[in-house]
Amino acid sequence: MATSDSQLNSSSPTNDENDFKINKSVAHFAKELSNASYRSHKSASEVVFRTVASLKDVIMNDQWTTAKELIDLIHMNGDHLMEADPSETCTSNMIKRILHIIREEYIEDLESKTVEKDTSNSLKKTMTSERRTKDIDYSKIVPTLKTSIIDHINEFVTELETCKENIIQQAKQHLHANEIIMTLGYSKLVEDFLKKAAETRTFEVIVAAGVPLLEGHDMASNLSKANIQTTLISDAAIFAMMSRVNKVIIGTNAVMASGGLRAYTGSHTLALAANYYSIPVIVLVPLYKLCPMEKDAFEANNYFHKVMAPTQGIVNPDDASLADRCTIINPVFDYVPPELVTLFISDRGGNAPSYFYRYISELYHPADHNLNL
Amino acid sequence: MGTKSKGYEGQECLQALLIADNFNDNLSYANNIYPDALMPVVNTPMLEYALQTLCTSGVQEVFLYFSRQIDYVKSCLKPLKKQFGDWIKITPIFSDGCRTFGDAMRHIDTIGCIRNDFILLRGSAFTNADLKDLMNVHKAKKREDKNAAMTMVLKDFGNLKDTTLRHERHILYSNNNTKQVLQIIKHPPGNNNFHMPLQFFLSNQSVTIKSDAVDTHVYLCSQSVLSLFSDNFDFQTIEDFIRIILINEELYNTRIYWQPLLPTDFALPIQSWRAYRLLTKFILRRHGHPLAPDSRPKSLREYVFTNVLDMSYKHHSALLSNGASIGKDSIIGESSELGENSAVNTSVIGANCVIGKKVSLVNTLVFSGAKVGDSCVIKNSIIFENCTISAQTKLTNCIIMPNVMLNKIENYENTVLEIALNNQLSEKKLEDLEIYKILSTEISYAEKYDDFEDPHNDHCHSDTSSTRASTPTAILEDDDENFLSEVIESLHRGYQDKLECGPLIIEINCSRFAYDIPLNHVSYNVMKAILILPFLQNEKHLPCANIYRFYKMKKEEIMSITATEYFKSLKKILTYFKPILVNYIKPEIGQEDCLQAIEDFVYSNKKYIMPYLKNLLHLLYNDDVLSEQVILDWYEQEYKSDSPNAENTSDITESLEKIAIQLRKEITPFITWLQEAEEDSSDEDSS
Repeated sequence: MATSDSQLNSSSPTNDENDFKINKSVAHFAKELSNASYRSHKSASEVVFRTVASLKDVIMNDQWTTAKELIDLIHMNGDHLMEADPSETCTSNMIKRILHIIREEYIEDLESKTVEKDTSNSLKKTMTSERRTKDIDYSKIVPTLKTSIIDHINEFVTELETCKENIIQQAKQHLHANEIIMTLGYSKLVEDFLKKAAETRTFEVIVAAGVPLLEGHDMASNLSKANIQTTLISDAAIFAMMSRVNKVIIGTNAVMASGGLRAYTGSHTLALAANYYSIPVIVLVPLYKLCPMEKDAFEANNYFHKVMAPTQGIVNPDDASLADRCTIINPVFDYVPPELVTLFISDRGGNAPSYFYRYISELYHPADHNLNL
Repeated sequence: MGTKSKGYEGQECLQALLIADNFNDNLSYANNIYPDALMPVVNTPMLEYALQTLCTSGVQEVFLYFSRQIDYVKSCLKPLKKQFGDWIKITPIFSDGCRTFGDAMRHIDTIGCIRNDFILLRGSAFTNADLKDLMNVHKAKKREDKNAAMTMVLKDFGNLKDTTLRHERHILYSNNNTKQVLQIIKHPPGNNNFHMPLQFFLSNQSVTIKSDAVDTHVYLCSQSVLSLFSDNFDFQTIEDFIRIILINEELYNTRIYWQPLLPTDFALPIQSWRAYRLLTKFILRRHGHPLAPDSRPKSLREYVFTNVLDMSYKHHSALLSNGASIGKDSIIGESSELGENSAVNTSVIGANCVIGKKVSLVNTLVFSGAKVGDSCVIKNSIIFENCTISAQTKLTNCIIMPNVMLNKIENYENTVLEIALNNQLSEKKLEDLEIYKILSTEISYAEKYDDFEDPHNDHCHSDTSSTRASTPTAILEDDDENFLSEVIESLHRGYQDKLECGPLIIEINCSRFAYDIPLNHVSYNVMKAILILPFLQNEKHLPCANIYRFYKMKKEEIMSITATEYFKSLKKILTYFKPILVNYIKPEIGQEDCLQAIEDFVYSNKKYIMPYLKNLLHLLYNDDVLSEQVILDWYEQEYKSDSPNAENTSDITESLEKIAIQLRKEITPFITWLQEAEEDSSDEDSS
């Protein structure tokens, strides 16, 4: 089957999308991703690694000759992946990162002989390069493209592998002895971050349970197992407890281009309470969670909201008469505006929310920002 | 593409079977428009939800069985195949002649496409549960009990008494430990008296009774379900199947289990318009998440919230004019337009609809392509595809069938409007009960009708059994006679054509259910039939109906054979039918009935059997059909007059006692031999 496809592709570069075949490893991963039981247990980093690995497989094993064809291929396979779990932003982020890598390598390979490389990515250059790349023709054949893309992706994978460790290593700079930290729900990253800090310092953690999934219970039990003094409170007590807290540390599902958060429900309440008492809110975010879309674009594409079934945590499923009579809303995510966030800790260090546009222009290509993936 | 190798990672291939039609008219009026599985709920066909669930559950292959409106189905299948083809292998099966669920299952069995345990879905099923997990439960059950045929999936909604779901609930009796289903019956509102057989409590350590179980129309089946359907051609529906299997559990030697859905999972089959409306509401309120607008399946992905608090949505291509409002639990379909100052409440509007200005829609379903003129007021109605309703029309409790054009300004109430054969508009009044069942959600109707609704449907299971039990004995004897005739017929044919005993046993069982014969009568009648058979040996052409009566009438004519000849052929027949005898007569009660049958037979046919009676008993004893204890007990007994179905014809009655004494005298040598043998063996034991 693969051979017949390749012949088709090479003979007609303006191939219809339908003639491409979904890559095997992409299809396999998509199947798993769409599986309900897998989705409830996966972690974001795992999804990221597997997305990159399967897209790498597309680049290595599928037949393509020009960068344009490859971009189309990635689009199509990416669509298939997004189909599997449309609410997962990490998948779309990774697809866009890979597209960026392809574009970057293509231009670099094309111009490597003529243009002197300027590695510093100044604001001016970003602005001008954007205009320059707008009308680039990606259909020229560059023989070295495949190897350079693969090299770049390998580098990227190493970056992904180390990013979590990079964030955890910064724990000691941000946590001090005898502080009281508040967090919400469960985040593996926050857990590891606090555990790392606890190696050298003693401090206290207050965990808000996080209705409806009550993942805060796991968080509290894990932290107390690591000998951190932990207090579990209900979400309703967040404001009451806030006055004693020194820092709020939370994880997030995604960061918008503006620096706003798509975070677990209750995060907005938490951030507002912290703001009222002028307590710093620190958000731990690996850069793969950085999403080049604005909240509005997100909402237009319908991926921001994720409203779950009322029986998944809010009402007792046995209470049919209640469900029959009243409307019950169970959103999973809150939008936290950037002005409520004091500091992001990413794998590249601590940044204010206003700095994130820099990362966006560095990590993504403008043509891909609002791709409807 | 080898089908076996399709399962990736070497897992075994998980198959599902979806019977698209429900073979009933629960969704009256819509039944003739859409095949059940393609009935749109929230502008998405049921089939799409089902396929989505199957995909996310990791099912690898699904067979879709269609039996109506094949052309329409084929046109719908193509986009579905494109959408789901990458995730699941879809094989449609078309059969135009199939009229019942049972026929469909038998057809599937002959095709032989199901190779393992499979998930059986009805077209009406809606669920978001992980079917693979449920299948694993069934497989675990099968490891414990090899003969587990099916695991029913039931949803527990808690107390349904005062909810709209009260019409869908079942009463379930089950073994508390094994979750084996003992009985499941519909539990309609207003009927609170249930008869519970004492047997449940005698044979089970603890029994669970659930009064609010809702059948999800998802069944986890072993492959044997298909062959059970094939063997029993009288299984018409899955309810038949479940009921009969439960009644005759020991006979089929197969059991049905049940499994509750996880509390967080949702399921609701559309088995009525009421359930349809409820499901619409629940989907809009996201109880079926991830099967919900703006999430899955793909045709629902394109919808956006217009108001999260109201749970109202519109397709992103739908147009809302100035002042148009979408109220509670409503959704506007693809490319539809809602005119200025129109208001929509608890309504579903399909694709490509045009709703004019100042229109009010309340509790109404508008299917795709409908046009509603300005200033219409429509309440509690259903408007099917491509209807046109002119401005200022008022509709209350109406059903507008497809392609109807209402050109005049007129008000309709409680009416069905459709285009008759002569292209004229025909009107039909709706009855109150129908309005309640199909259109209205108002509680006032509920109080009026709940108590006596559907008496026919509701009690049919319990009623039939009770009437059976209380019918006068005359009918029972008639049934017995008919049953005996059928048994004779089966055995005669079996013996002539040299059929195997296994199918004959099944045949006898079928006759048994047809006439509702208790087990002890079966062994009695089978023995009797065998004793009669030698007389019929020479008759090549037997009448089809009621052989027993034929035998009684022509008795003298047939009995032209000598006693020796009779016993010779009887001996052959007995050896041939030994498996059947062992099957029915082995239990102790069966042996007593068998001896009773022999005794009764002696009374009426003294001259043939008396001389060889001891040989006959010896033969049965040697074949392990009769045990010596039973024979001895029987021998000790005096003549019994209350034998079942004894031939108490007048001429014999007086001499019966005499014959009984003669009979016992006749077999004394055998009995003595038996007793001696027993003493011998006990002597050996002691020494």
